Amino acid sequence: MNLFSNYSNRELNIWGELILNIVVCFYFFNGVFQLMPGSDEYAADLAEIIIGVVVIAVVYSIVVFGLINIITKAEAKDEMDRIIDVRSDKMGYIAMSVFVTLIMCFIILTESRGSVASIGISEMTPIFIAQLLLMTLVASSTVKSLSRLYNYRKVM
Amino acid sequence: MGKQATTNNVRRLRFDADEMTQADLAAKADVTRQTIIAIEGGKYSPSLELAFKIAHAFGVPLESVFQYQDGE
Repeated sequence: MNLFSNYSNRELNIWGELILNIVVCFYFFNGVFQLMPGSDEYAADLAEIIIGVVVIAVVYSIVVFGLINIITKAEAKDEMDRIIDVRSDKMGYIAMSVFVTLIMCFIILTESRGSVASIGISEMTPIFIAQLLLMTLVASSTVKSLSRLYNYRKVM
Repeated sequence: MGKQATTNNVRRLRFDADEMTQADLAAKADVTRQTIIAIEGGKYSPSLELAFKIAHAFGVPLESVFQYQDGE
């Protein structure tokens, strides 16, 4: 309980989001990269992983965010929260731009050289690119959460 | 342009006001306690509206709470 007294409800919620991001990301990508693209069971296996992600996210949200809001009092956002949100959104946007640019460079290099980092052009399927973009979304969301935590700690 | 900074007497004014807690001041100014902590620590400069709310909570003029310093 003493641990929680050092953190506001807002910070604990950000920690909760961050851990959910990491758990879901690990579960999803660990499962997806073990699938064989092009196989008959691919779509069914992918659907199973996605359902698993949804179930984990729902159960985690109910338990963790419910507990956080029971242990600490939920507070309405004020002007400092909104400023921190804006700064963190900016960091998330910059991270997303960087990751998307890197993916574009990776695709162009793979196209021109035939293969990059042992990934050939034949493996550059739409589903693979969709997974890269999904990783970008998760990574930028993680950067945003970390930036929010940093900004909250900085002003304390 | 020289270094600019605002300073404040929020902590002293709280103690002068019967040791008003940060939570009480936060409730009066309609912000979170974390925001009051940040303001007292000089790590966050409030908006003009919030600065007035804090001054009203103590019943003193704005310049008694916040001072602007234009360092050279």
